[in-house]
Amino acid sequence: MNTELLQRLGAAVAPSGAEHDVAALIGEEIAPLCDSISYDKLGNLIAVISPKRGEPRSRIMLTAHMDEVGFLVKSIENDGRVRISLLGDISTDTLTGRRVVFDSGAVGVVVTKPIHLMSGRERETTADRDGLYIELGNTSREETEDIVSLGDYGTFEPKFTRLRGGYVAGKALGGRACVTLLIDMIRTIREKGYDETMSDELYFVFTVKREIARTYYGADAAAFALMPDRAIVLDAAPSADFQGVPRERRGAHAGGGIQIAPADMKTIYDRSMFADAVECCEKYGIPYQYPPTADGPATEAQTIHKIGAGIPTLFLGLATRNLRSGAEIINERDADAIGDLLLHLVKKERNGYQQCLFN
Amino acid sequence: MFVQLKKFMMADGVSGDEKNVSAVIAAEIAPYVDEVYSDAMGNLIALKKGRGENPKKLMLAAHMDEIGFMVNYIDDRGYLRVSKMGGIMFNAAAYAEVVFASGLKGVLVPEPTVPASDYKSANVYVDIGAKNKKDAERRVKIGDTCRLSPSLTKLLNGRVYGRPIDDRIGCLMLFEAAKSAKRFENDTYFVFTVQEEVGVRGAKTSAFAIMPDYAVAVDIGGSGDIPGCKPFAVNLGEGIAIKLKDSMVISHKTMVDLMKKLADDNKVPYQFEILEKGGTDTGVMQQAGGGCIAGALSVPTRYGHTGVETIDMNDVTGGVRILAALCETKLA
Amino acid sequence: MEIKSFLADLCGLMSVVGFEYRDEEKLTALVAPYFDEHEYDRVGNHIFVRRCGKENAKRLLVDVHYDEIGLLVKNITEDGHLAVCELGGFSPHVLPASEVVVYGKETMPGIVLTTPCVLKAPGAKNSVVPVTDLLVDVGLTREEAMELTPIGTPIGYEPVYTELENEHFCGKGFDDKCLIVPVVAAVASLDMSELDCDIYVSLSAREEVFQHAVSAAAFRIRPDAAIVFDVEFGNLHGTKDPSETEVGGGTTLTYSAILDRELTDFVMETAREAGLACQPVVEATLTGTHADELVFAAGGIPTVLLGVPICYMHTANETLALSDLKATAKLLATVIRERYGRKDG
Repeated sequence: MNTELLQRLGAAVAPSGAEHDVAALIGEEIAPLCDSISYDKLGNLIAVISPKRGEPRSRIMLTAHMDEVGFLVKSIENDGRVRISLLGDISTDTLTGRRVVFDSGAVGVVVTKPIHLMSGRERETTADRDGLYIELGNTSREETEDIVSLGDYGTFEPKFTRLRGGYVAGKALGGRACVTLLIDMIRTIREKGYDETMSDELYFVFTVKREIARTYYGADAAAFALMPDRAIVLDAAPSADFQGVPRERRGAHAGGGIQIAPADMKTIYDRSMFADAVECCEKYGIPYQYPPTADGPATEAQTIHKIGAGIPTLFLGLATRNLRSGAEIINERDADAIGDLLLHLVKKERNGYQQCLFN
Repeated sequence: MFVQLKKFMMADGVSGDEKNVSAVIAAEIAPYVDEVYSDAMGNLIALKKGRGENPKKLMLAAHMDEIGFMVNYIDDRGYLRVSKMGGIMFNAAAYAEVVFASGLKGVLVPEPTVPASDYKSANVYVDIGAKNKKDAERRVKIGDTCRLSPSLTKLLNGRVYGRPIDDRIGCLMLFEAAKSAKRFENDTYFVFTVQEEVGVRGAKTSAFAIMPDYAVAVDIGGSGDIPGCKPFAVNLGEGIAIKLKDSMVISHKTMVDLMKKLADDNKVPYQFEILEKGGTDTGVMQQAGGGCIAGALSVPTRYGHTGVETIDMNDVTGGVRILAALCETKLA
Repeated sequence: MEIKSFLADLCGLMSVVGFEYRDEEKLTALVAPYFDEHEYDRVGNHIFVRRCGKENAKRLLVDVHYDEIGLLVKNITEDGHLAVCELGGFSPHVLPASEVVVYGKETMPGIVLTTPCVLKAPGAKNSVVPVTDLLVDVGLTREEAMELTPIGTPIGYEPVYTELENEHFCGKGFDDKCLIVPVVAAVASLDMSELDCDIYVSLSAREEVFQHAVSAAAFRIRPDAAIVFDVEFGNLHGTKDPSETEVGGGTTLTYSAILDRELTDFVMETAREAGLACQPVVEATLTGTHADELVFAAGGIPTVLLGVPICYMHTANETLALSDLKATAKLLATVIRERYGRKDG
């Protein structure tokens, strides 16, 4: 995986509803490489590569979401602090005491009460989602209004840390790594000329509004417009793979390869796509893992697979520790494994006969 | 009908893995319709074209999937861990025989120190008698589904018990209607939906593809005639229940009135059902595309989602008559 | 002296309590140039001295503790994650998903692991994980970790310093190293020939775990008086709690039954006359600082306690006002000149 690109994508401040900076970066990278590139009405970025010989056998949609968790400025207090509303399922103990940035460039610290001033109950529970304040260093409303406005958005401060063992950490890495992998795939298809020999028309959809979804995802609009024959959803697969967590709640194992799920709590993945993906990994020695249960956390696939008359869908998960915090951790080997598997959608097999994935 | 029902029940089809039961139903219904096909999700659609001018589209739906389990982990000693597919009650499934599509049998049991009120996926497992992990992996893999062993047995007074009555009884009723209707005035789609038990998923996509004008779901309902139950105005043996409401739908008045009329015309006894908890394919069909006139028939059922679901076959025959009469009625 | 970079350089040093020796040379290099003598004693205190040149000069001890809180590796899990315990007091509310630095055989970054919301058990959605159950991920296998970051390895917050609005600064380690800045600035600015006391600046160790090494220094020095500097709980926005002072409101001065009241009053008077902001804080009995030790050490030492307010104490983003540091430097220099100015003209 192109970690230099990942770092740039991770640094973009783009929570749900404000994905444009990431979209612009993606556009710069891939516009010269695709047959066409466009935005739909919600802001989903759609890039197409068609087979150059013959009629496409089918239409395959690949998705990765552009947005990350973050917050909106809800109000500016008389004392110069900012109250925020959260975008996405963030645990407040990953926010309190941490630096955040606003789209205007302002930097602040999420206020936390000193522990000696907390009541017994406050000590034992994480801060209330609706009660978070950001400290900018101003003591009056007017000073703050100069640098921040109502409705401004913000995220964790951009960071990128290299740990040992191929692990990297930073905000938004789980989702942005999936974006990077699709861009890598587009680049490889062009560089190796796979579009001369591949069978299917590929729609790369970089989606919006994933992190705030309750019933509908931004991806639904793209799926409805495209009505692909198949869909592959890429996203972070949450990990809590450490001591003290019981087996069934550990999620994906970082370093354990692509997470390929037969089902999660909202989607039963297409059984033949699931079997094909597992078989392809076995054949080519690509590391993969199953989730610990078949009722794990839902993905964008939950609505995509029920769009229109139904779209057979597969989910490929990138194990991500500390998901939805300012320091998500992924392993480069897992990302590379997903990259390898995706190429089997376009590469012919060793005997030159057919593709490994989805015959 | 007992024999036919049993045939449908013996075929396996846990949510998401319905191909076997789909094949059985497809073979049975094919002689009575014009076209039989499956869609991308696996919904089975049997279409009988209507006669006359501009026939309306009538969609009859019964879900062919059943609740069951999916294997998600095989431990070192060859025990299997499973996730629920649909509304399994572990108290009803504990210490029971389960069976895989391959015919492999196992027993679903809770870990020994867990109190009965705490049974859940994390503390039950399936024992197939394997010697170790490798031995188990020769017979099952992650993603395989299994279900409590099927059965159908007669009780007194035309009552029967077994599983999965939910919703093979609905599938049976659709089949019997296709077989017994004297004519088909409308383009009638007999749809055997998938993945109802995990969130009414197959009905959504099949209804979108068909865009019906009228839709009727057939599923099991509840009953209010057992000791200690909450008051509920439906009883076994008092006729098929016309659904007024469940948690996902308020039935369309036009459809309710039509069903009442057909029941009265055919001297079929009926009752009315209001289900406060629980949804069916009905609501999802009603909202498909531009919407349609939707309603449902419910078979009064005791002990739903257990190994001993119990119904009265007299209620069923009445329901079949109403469905057939619906097929015979030119819808406006 | 460029105050912002001096502050970041000092506070960015690794001085996790018990391991203060790690950056000992860097600390000496930063501070020693302003002093005549330097001693690094057996329990980890640095004593920097400026002499006035008089015989039998009085001895003034000015103390700032330079240790900081940290974590200690207590075990290594099967996955190579580091199980930790506290060195000093942490709030578990701020650690999940934090960046830390692991000072093992090699120094390397680490991330505190947390369970994503979506995997938390239903009853545990809002519970706080105690520090003793937290794990740090450095990306090593168990074997590698046992070699490079074994049991007993210290861990600190990542040193990153950010300027907020209105010359407010945030970063780790302001408790208590930020006060080295005004102390060194004040003492360096004095003309020692005009004073009749020698000034011993002790940068003392082990305060955060209440194992006050400073008493040993006091025993050797036998000061006539002591000025202890420690940070106070501060609030930028007007405080409702009486134990908090105002960030930007100037130097804090503590009134307490164990401190020397006459000296305390002297400091407040001096501040008032010089037009320097000085905010009183009341701690009736013990102050929770080195003052509690020094008062009773070495035959008794009249002691006062000064400081600056900081917000978010013991987090990686402790926040202070530069104006408070500047005011404190001025106040200390003025107090010393007023108290110990040579009377013989």
